[in-house]
Amino acid sequence: MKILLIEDDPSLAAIIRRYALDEGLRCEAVGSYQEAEEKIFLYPYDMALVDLGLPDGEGLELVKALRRHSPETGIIIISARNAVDDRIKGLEYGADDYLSKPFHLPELKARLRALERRRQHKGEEQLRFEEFTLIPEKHEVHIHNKSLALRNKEYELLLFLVVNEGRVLSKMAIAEHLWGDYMDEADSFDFLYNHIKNLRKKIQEAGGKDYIQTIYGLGYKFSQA
Amino acid sequence: MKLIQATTRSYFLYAFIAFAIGGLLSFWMVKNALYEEVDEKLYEHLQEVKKALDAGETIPEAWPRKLERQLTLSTADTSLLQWKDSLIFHPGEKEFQPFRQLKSIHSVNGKSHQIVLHASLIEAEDLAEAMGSALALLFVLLLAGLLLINRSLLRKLWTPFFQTLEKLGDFRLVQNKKLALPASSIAEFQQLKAVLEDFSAQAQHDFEAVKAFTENASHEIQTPLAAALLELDLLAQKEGLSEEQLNHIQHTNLSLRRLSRLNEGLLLLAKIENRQFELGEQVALKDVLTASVGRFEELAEAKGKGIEKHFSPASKTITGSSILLEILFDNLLKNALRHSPEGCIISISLNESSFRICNPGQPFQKGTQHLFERFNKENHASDSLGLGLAICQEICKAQQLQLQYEYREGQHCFFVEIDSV
Repeated sequence: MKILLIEDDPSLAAIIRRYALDEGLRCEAVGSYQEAEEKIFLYPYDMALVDLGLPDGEGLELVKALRRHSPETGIIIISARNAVDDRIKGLEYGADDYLSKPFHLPELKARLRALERRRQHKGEEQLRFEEFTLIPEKHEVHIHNKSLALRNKEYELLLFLVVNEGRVLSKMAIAEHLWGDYMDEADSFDFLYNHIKNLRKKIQEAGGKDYIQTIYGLGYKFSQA
Repeated sequence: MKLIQATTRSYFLYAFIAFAIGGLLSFWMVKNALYEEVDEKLYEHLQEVKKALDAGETIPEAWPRKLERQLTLSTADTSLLQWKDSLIFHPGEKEFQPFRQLKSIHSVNGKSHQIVLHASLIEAEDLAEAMGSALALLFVLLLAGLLLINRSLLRKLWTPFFQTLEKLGDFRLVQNKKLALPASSIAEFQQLKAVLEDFSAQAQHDFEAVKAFTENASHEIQTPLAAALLELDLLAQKEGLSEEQLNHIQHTNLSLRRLSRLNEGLLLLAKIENRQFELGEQVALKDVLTASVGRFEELAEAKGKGIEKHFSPASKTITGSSILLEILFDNLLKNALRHSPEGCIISISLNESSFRICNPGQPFQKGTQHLFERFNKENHASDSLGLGLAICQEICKAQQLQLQYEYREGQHCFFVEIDSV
């Protein structure tokens, strides 16, 4: 996946870029409207992450230009202006998603992957991890080719874990992914604990291995070892 | 009081006083002149009678007009000249009429005669009556004229003023449209136009500056916060971190997140106060509320709480902002779920005239006078930011609604009356 990151804050751009590279994604970062415009016209990208407040221009205009010039590119707005009208306008201008700052890196990855599935695989992609097969389009999970019945949030939780496989995920990042801002932290951590417990049980009952590791003090990690 | 009423009232008052004083004065003057004439006539007459008596002529008891003279012998010895107003019965008119009377005593050859002369004052009364009605007619004519002129003047001269008022009433900073007032040939209105246009331009400029500032401030604060959180994400991936170290990361995470939420909350408040939301949408309350409840049903279920909905079938539509109403309902629901005991029922009702959300709970220890203030929390250790209710209240204010609170039958209730909108 080739990503164009348009972000004027250098430290933020550096972190996102390093993270993307760690994840095996190709990422080019630019810090201004003009540079971004040049890149858009010169190269094709699979994904573009667009910050709205750029020093020399309005990110929303870039979204428009991107959509016009390269309709296949998936566009995610990343903005510190968590304004609902910006969100609505962004989506109207052709952005696919809106992520308000601050966000967690695993959340960014989940959004990128979801968008990739939607845009490039027309939603038909299957995610495989060892004996697990996830079919996001149908909200289905198979273990050893046998269907596993999960509740909605359990499914979303598993998908989030699988997409971010191998990484330590803080409870906060997972809770925010599942419930957004609607819940108090104390509540959401309790619910998360219960959901993880149920998920583990269901996976084991279906004959799957428990890949969910508890990282004491912080959260969980989904990995083989 | 309207401008037209105020000016009319002053005109009326002045005309009334002027007419009252003028009427009384002229009446008094005319009356004086009349009396003078009548008195002179009577006195001349008296002199004639005296002359006749002195000459020893006999004076017939009844002169052509009997009422006008009486001559009697008197025993009094003093000379007398007495003026008097009196009412005498007029047999012809069959009524009492005002008369002027002159009484005098005259002695001729040691014999005293009392002379009483009368003159009718009926003309004076008639005159006064005629004058009164003439004045009253004049008063009415003048007043009607004043009113008509005043009204047409107001309509013509003050037109630019009323147009200006209307434009000012419609003026909204949020819309960022220049205030354009009607031109006028009258210097004062031209001045008013210049001053107001100047003022509004300045206000607009300041408003834009504040708006830009709050947005920039939010951006400037949120960006480093985002960077710090991402750094922590990366740090957490390092191999061999102890549980204690991970705990530190987690706590830093939570604090940063909290800071970012505070920033968002304060920014939202500033934006509502600056009226940066479009408030002219037609919003169906039931739809927005139903969506809100939907977002919290899972949370309620997980906490073992029920949400009871009493929505009347007709959907009330108000003019406001759907975004703000969504935030309002979300915040109130979040609040109710946060501050209610486990296993309870939260009831929400919406009908034509009000919205109400109630949850059981202990009454507030600190009283409720600061309930809607920022950072006012019942329990300082709690998770909440202390901005939720302040935001709710600002949202209601922005839409001319009033958020109220009451504690009734063990229930905390927040309600909004909506019939007036």
